[in-house]
Amino acid sequence: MSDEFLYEWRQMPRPEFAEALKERIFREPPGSARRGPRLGLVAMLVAVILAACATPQIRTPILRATEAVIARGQVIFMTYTVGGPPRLEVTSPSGERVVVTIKTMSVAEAQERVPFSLRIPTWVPEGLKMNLLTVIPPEAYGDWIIYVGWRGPYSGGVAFPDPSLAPLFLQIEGPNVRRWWALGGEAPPTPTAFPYPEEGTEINGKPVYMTVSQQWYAPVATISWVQEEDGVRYTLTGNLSMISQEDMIRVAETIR
Amino acid sequence: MPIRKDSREKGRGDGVDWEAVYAEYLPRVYNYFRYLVGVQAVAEDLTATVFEKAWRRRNCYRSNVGAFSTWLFTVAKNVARDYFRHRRQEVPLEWAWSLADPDPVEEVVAEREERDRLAALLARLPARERELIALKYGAGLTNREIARLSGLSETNVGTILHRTVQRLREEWEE
Repeated sequence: MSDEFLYEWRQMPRPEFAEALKERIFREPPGSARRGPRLGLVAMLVAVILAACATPQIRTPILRATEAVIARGQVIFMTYTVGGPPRLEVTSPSGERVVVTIKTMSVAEAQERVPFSLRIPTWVPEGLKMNLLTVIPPEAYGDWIIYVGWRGPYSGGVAFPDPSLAPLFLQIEGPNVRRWWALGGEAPPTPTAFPYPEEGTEINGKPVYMTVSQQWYAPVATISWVQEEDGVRYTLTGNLSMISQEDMIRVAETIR
Repeated sequence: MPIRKDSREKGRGDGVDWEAVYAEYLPRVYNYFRYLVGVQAVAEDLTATVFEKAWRRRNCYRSNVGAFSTWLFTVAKNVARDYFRHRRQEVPLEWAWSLADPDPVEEVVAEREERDRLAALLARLPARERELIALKYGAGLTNREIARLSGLSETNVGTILHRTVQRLREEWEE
């Protein structure tokens, strides 16, 4: 039986897609691939921990410390239902569990929900498309949070933003947002959580926090500032393997 | 399988020549996803994910454990599984652009009717049959390679493919 008709649908990938992906993948310096876990070392470590925990004098304080950390910290999960939208589950230090369904909406829909003016970039580099705009209600973090994400020409946006795939991400936070470290205690606002912010960076004539950190997937730049008029914090994060720092500043300048 | 003559070169994934891998397998992985999900933009996304994951984990591949194609398409199958697990039933307005064909409309209109027809036939197949068709005709794998990936026997793969092609052929000629 001829199956030729089944081959008719085959086609070569678009050259610009193939080139862009190749350039991005092979940019990583040789020899920097992550190594698999050293099973022997891990097994030895587990054995030592198990042996230590077998002794009540050691086990009891460890369990108490663990309980204390869990009680003080904030636990956040991103969960998915098969075929359904992703959900964010936040457990506050008081133990209250908040489940928020992540739903992408239009700017107008998001604006209807939040009590402050949403400022969305009016320019992004060519090829970037907004593929995420979702609103987290105040039950989770004490005030509204808006996530806005863009995908590049060839990656990102298949599921909820994977930081290694998303070229640009904007987080808008109401003035009363509070976060807690997973190990307990209140976390500082986003920019001061990063070490060594560069001084002297200005956006539209106003000082902003700007940091560049090396993540496992790429260098990542963060620009953050608080809007004077309403106290709303804007944090723009860019994967520098997909967007330049100059373009990020240009994007930030259009958030007015 | 593209293996470097000097297998120690640059310490990359057990001597795999990644330039050659990219040239040989990009169209095959891409077409595997096209046959599987039917949308070009999504196929590109998933293909990119496969190559990024494979590149990051390149030191995990061992040529003495299995063929490179088996390893790479195992990554692809996992990416496909994650996609079907997470995909949305309703596509929000902002995502609608991703369903569009990136080529100019004039260029694709002539071919679209036949392609759409085949895509519609593939979309109606049960998941397992469509997976096998995608591996066979999209990725260009042999029945033996598909058997290794799917856990089915080679004979079983051949039988299922024969029946599925027969069914598609009949529907195609209707």
